[in-house]
Amino acid sequence: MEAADINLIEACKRGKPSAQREVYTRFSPMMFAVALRYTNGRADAEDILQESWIKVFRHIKSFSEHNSFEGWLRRIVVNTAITHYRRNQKHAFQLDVDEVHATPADLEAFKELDFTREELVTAIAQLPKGYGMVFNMYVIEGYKHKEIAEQLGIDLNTSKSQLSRARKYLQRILGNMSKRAQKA
Amino acid sequence: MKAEEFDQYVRAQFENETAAPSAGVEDAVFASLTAATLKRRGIAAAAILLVATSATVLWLHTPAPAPTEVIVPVAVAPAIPAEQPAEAVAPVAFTSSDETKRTAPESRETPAMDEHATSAPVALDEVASRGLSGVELQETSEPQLQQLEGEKWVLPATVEVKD
Repeated sequence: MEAADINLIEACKRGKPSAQREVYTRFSPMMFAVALRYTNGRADAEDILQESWIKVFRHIKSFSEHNSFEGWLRRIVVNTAITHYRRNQKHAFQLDVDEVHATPADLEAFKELDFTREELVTAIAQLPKGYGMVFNMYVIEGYKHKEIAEQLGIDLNTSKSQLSRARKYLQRILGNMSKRAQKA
Repeated sequence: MKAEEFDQYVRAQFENETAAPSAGVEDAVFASLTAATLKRRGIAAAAILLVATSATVLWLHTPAPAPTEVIVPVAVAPAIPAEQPAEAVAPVAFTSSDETKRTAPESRETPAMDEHATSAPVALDEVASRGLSGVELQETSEPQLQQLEGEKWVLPATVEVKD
């Protein structure tokens, strides 16, 4: 971490408002992008972002300069998103998703096309909620199945099976997207 | 495509991901922080005020502590005047005939003694002439009471004058 960043974080620890503003401006786009992957819309993502920043400034004194500040922020966003997910899970309508199999045609289409990040975000957002959580945490954030199981309060094997299903589901969605693109 | 390849492809797409949130989020975050700070300060101020008020009330309702006892040596005049030396007391001379008239001491606390004293007066010369068996009189050069001019006794006495 650079000396300027360390000074900025130290100023935030002292509660200096200008330093807090600067940190917010620098890291909010990254945090918001993470929040968007865990939600279905901007409104929910903004709620998560706001809650995350309040946690950041409240607990910034516990942050050690030896660690990655960006990694610390990212983890706070993910944890906040998980809290949101678990809070809403009780009231959400749970889809009973059948086993999804990507057809060879889907996979062939997936091979041929390159997808933009926005398309991937759209596809991930279409995943059933539980699948999306596991996929995001494992594939993009790099969590282990044990951590995912602990964080989401699910069985280790459930995490593994949900990831497998999420991959197939996503490939099918992406295959459909590429088919539509070809037709257009 | 294998699962690992697919994962790598997706992960690569999300490196350095950014998305701009609306400006309203920033305002909401800092308004919330300001409110939290004010709340914290308000609680701290209220706590200080409460402690100060409690201390004042406690101080006002606590009786003043007893002054520390300082022991100062004071020369106290004895309630009972010290026995005056024999020289200062005027010797009273009386004869044995007077002695017979003399009654028991004035104290009434020992009625038995009083009774004995009044009922069986013993002549002093007779008592004086009695020998004490087993007791030898010490020979001294100083004159003894019994030896003063025969039958005269000199006793220190105080004389009370009553109205």
